[in-house]
Amino acid sequence: MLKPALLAAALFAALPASAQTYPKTIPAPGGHVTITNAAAQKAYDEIRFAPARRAGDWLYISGLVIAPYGDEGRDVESFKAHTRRAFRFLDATLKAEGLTFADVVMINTFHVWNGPGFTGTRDQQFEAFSAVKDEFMPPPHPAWTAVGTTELLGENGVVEMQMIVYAPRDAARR
Amino acid sequence: MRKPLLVAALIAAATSAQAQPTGYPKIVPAPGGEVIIHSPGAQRNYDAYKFAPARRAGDFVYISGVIAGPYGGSERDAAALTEQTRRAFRSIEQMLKASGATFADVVMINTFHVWDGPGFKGTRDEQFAAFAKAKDEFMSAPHPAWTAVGTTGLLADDGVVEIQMIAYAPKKAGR
Repeated sequence: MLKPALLAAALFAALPASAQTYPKTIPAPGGHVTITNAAAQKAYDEIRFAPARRAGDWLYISGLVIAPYGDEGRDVESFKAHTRRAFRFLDATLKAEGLTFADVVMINTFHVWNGPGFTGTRDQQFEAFSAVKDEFMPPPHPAWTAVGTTELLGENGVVEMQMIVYAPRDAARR
Repeated sequence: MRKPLLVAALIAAATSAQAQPTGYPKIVPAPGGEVIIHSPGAQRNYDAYKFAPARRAGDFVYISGVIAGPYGGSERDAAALTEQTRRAFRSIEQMLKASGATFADVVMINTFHVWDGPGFKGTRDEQFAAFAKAKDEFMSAPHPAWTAVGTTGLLADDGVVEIQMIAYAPKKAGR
């Protein structure tokens, strides 16, 4: 649910420059908020949502918007590149918690099937998204619900993806 | 996930009596937890539409979507949506309280927005700002995860936003 400017910044900020300060955690009842990087901190402060929040043995990851920024392309290959960018941000968020994509148990994806951010068909969009997802998420697969949406908060947003992750507190169990 | 008439009844029940009506909150046992019915209006929804306002399993409480909208003749500008959102949050506040939780325990929110519907006159960004204003009155840091997406329509006529939550609320010993 990152705004476009923040999202763009978030993904670029994933570079090593901010590694000293982030990821960072903020205590919360039964767990904590995880702030992946400096731009995620900005989104936390300004839009007031956590990129990820842990409680008990579970981690909840906020929806992340996949979109072209500015003049970026809107064809299949471009969309795949934008999707990889989003998965790398999620990967960094999971790593901050000592987790991997293998720990993800449920995904919800919300797709703008006929929007300005992607020029192809519904099936082409899904196929491209799915191919990138496969690069990051091998079997065993999580539960997954994919539905259409009218519009996302990120400009030209194509897909918003949300995840729930099993993250047992007892490290010895991992 | 409430029909308009029932929502109206539920809201009325929530606002007319600050004191909890006799017999509520009511707890219905369920596998690994319970259904939590916080008011007579919620009970009517439970019976007629067969959904729980809140259901606990283990340490987590799942709150059904509550719709913010004008319900009939009221105003449809930003100030009105903020007030309608407050009404929805007060209802959720009651559900959380009945579940032994507060907004601080909410770990995830999903909101479903009708961006261009009859219930709100304004742009997408104006709607989001009006919604966020009310949310901020009820929810302070540390913030939960939040996913906000568009939807074509909600079950209540003129519904603008449906708000769903998951709260972490471990049962305390002796409860």
